Amino acid sequence: MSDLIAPIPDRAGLYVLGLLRGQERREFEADLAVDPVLAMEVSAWEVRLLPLSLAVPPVEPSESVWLEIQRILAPRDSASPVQSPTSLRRRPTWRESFWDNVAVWRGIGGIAVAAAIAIAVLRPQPTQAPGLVAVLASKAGPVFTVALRSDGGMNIAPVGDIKPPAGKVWQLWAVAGGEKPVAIGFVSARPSVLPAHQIPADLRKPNILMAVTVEPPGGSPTGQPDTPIVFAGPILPVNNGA
Amino acid sequence: MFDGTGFIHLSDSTAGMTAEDGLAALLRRCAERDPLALRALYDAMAPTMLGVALRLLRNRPHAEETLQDAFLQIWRNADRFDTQRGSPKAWMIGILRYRALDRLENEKRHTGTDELPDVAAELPVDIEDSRALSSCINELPENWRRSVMLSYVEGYSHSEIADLTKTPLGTIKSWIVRSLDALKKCLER
Repeated sequence: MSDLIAPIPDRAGLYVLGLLRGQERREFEADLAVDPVLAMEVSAWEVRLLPLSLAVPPVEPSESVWLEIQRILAPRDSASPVQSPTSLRRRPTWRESFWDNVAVWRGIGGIAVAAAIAIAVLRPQPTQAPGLVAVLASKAGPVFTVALRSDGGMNIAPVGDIKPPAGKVWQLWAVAGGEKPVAIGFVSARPSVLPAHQIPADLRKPNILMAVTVEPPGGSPTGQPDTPIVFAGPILPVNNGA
Repeated sequence: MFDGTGFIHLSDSTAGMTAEDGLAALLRRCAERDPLALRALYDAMAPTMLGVALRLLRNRPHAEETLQDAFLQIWRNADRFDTQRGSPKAWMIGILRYRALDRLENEKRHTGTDELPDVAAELPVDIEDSRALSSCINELPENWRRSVMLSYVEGYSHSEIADLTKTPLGTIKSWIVRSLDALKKCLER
């Protein structure tokens, strides 16, 4: 190594060390979602540095940690799936199905969003906050763009010409990893603005998943999504020069 | 600092490959929605992961919540683990670390210099079974090595390391960048 010529900062290495923070980290993670080479560099650093983690003295968790994991993953109407091998072939509950859906949508998100994010950026609304958008996509492509406004609300715009099934509405959910979905409003075939007071502040940030389900008018009677996600996408930071 | 001892002993053995294969098989079973596999993964990895989270967060309730979140995420994303790309341990600990770092960022906990424990100076890393990393880390100048350990193991930011070590921020950034470069080259030798 030379003391005279500084090496180019290795962003993947800095990320794995935990030294990319704030906006820098969000930008890196947005790149990571769409760049397989970068993802491999991150994996390589995770493996390189793994021995340092394995060297930290282990600590036995309290029993409550596993019980809570069990409680969250368990269906409400039967014994814990984790304790009962006979439960392996049972049908998934809606809640598990929902979360399975979230996993699928998070996976699809990177691809659909990379292609579609330009749409949201190309049509910024005057009140749009700098750089947080979600593109809600179906498997066929983008369906809605959601842009966070500087007042905390959301501008929602359809990308194509579609309508919810007859007699039904599209309900919009915000989902933080591991948390229950939170109903924040409805989307329709026309551009709309979701007021800030409907959206908890901690759900207006990157990586929150925005998801839409088809529900009866007035929304899900249970207060939780009862049907599969029809389109979804994570909130992501974008550099739009705003 | 939650235990007061600075020494790190890397304990994974040459049986590591077998253990990794077993963990990869458990992750595949989690992807197939086998809950017993999740329990087995938890038994195998939770203590290690809680140790890592505690070291980063220095708060047991927060560390346990982070551990719980990490296992929920492991269960939900098990089908996305790619054996070609990494080790199951690295993948699982990665999930935990990024959640812990989220927490550090959100709570801006590492903010005051008065509470910063000075332990990394005692972390010259006795790595029995990871000789490559051990020797490469130990080849780094003391200040560089310490900066790497303070960031990766203790969760400090560039500016916190600068405060803690009373070193200009630019110097810390330079040490870290040079350390990464040196480690990568050394491990590729």
